[in-house]
Amino acid sequence: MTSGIETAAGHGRNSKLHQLWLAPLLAFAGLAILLFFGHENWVYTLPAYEPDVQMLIVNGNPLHGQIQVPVAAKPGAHLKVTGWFGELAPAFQSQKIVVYLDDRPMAETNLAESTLLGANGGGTHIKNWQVDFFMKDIPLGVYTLTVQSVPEGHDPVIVSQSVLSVTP
Amino acid sequence: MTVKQKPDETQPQASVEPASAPRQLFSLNYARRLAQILLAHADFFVMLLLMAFVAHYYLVQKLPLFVREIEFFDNSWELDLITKAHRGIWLGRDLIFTRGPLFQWLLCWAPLRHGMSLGSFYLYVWVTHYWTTIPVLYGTGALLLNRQPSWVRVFYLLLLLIFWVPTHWIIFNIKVLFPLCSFAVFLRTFPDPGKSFSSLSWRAATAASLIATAFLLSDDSGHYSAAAFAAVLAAFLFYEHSFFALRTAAKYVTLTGAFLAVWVLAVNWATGRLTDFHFWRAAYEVAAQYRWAQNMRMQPPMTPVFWLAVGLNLLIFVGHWFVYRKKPGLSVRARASRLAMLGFALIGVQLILVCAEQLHVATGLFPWIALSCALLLGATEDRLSVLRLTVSVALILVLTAGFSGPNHLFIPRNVLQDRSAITNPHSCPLGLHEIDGVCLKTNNFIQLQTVRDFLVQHTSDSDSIGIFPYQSVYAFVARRNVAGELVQHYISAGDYLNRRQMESLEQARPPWAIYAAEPWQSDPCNGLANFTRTPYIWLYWQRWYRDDFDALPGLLVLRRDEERGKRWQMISTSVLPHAVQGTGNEELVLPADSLGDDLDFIKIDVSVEYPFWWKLLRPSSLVVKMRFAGGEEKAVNVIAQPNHPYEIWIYPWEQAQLANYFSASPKQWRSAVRPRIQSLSLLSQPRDWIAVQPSRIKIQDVQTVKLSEQ
Repeated sequence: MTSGIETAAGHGRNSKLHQLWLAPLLAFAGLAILLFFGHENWVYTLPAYEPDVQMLIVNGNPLHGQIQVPVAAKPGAHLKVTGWFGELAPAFQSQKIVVYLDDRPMAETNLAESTLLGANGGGTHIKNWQVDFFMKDIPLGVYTLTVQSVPEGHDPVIVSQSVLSVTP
Repeated sequence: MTVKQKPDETQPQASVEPASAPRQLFSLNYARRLAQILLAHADFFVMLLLMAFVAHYYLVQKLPLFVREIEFFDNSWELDLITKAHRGIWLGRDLIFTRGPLFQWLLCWAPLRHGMSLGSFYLYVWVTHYWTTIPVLYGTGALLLNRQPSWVRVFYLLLLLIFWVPTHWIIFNIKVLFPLCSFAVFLRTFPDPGKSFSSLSWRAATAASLIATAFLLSDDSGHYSAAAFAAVLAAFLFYEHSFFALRTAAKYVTLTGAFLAVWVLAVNWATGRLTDFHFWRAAYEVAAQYRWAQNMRMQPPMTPVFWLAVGLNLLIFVGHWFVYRKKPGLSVRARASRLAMLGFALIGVQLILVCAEQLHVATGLFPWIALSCALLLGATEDRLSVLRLTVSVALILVLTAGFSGPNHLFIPRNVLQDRSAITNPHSCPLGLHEIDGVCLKTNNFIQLQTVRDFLVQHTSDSDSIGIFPYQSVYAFVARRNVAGELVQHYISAGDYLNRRQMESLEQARPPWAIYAAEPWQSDPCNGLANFTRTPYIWLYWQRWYRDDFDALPGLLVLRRDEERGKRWQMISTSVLPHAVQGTGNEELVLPADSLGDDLDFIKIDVSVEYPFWWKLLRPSSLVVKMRFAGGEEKAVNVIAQPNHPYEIWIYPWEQAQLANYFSASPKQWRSAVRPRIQSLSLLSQPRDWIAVQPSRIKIQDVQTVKLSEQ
């Protein structure tokens, strides 16, 4: 049989022991839980630099080159879609570029010739183009931005498709 | 056969006890002592375990490594430092960069010992990264939390390493963490009033050694470590400014200065002559010019995140002050430590004010986060109560759960995943090609292989190679040194650094150079065209070198041509009748009619005046706006050194066309369509809340520049 004083002392010791272990237990159990169930590291959740344009590589037949398209815009904004094509087949030498937002044609332009001269003989012939338009009467939402090449006497070719978000 | 021996019952019990009892007691005491040591220094052993884990995790990989794509911008200087170390060319003595010789040694030691290749670089880069980060984090915790139980320091080390320290191979943490650890040393060793001379001496010698070592690591580290010393000194003097305390502090600072002077002379001697201060001058220039030449704006979504982090950290310090403001328990030293911690945390934010993109924000906030956690865990107090520790730990865990997550490396599913594909590769997988110990995608492989083969065939081992703008990787794979005292051209800003780079190029006269045309083979550095950033370096290559071989479209191998250089001339024509000036927020319209058609570049001689506080923040961006015949408009980012005459150079048309200027025939230099410029103006654009608007912009002259051969 134990006396009341002994019980209280034992209880006090246990309580102290519990207290002693409480903080480290919480600390390491907490770390373990976060390690197993934690979300992304803070560095990756920080807002990163996001350009409001993206570069699309066109690498196919009959066209190859690059197109820079906007990825986000505000209503009424002035948007620019630029690009270049290299080593064009004869049928594509005189072509027109048309930009659509969903099915709505926004603007069109012709190609301008540019040459990067090379030391190995000849040069890299590229054709530059730039299409400008304003986002008039375009409600907020997500649209498909289509760049279409229209060669003279041939069917139009879709060169690229990307997503454009119109946000307030 | 094992024979079990029965206890000898005939042996008297009394005769056994005296022989075995002391041995058992000794073993017990020994085990207890060992356990005590292990427990008391648990953080040290956890540090060793973490380092062993990281080494094992990365070094079980075998070459070739599946790298896939080369990151040309930052890997270039890292790889070039290895080539240079291999040839005995060292930062500080022979080279200028944002890092120092100690950093170069840390980066190069392992790859050089295990065979220089792209593969060995990528294999050891993360090990170097973690093997510098982990001990410094351990040291910081051990110094700041030395009065707390060892489990608190283990918790602190794991928390910071797994959840908070940013890990990226470009911004090596050691650059920021070393000053943090130095700060912890300064705090711990700051002398109490009345300390003896010998006591002051070793403390001062330690402080001076840490500051000097930090400068050997990088100019940033050096400046931050010096600032950490100043923050600790100021905080202690704020709370303790009796005559006695002032006298001790004065002696301590004088002794630190004296030891630092010895270090300065020693570094001078190691990097040249005893009286040659070029190491220190370069460290100052790189840091000073970086603020206006290399800065980056803060993206709008980053602003609330930044202020939230600042607010929460500030709240922790204010909360601590509030709790202890009337309690007598907190000593003057503890209060001074708290103030110094806040001061150093605010100094660390400078990194963000200069470069406010994601990684720099994370790196700049980390010292404050580390110090806030240390404050909560008892950095300024003696042993904390169980309740206080429990509350602090709970708060830290809640904040960590809310705002961060574990580093991918330490996540169990990552550690346990099957890595046999990368630990025992026989060759590169389909679609990747092997070169120099790494597997790359086809386009990267072709780029490197074509240029490497050309350089190996046409140059000797002793030849240095020119690179413009930054792709030193090409020289590395050919095992050639890159010409120039500045490791990268893009840090060339201000008179001193420009002069050093131009002089070193004139001296080196590399027989070949690689030119990567923008935008096909190069990107603008921080939004600025490479020609506009370093026009005189571009003009140097254009004058003395001609296109000899096109490795790929836009990737030119240039050959030195002495005759071309002698025939080369540059004619400048002034088109501004009188100087134009305006306030900082005014758009200065310049005469475009008189520019004419016959020009290659526009040079604007400008003086942009800023209020003095730009040195604490960042100068505003400048933009040159042009409208061409045909209606096209173009806005070109430019920079100008604040409060100093500066030449802004722009190529008004498509940057890619600059590659044509390397043609052997001047007739081909201007082969592109170049519409006439109809309007030209200059204005400042503060792109975020940190940027300081100029008070006055004065345009002294506008010139058209035309290149030709006689």
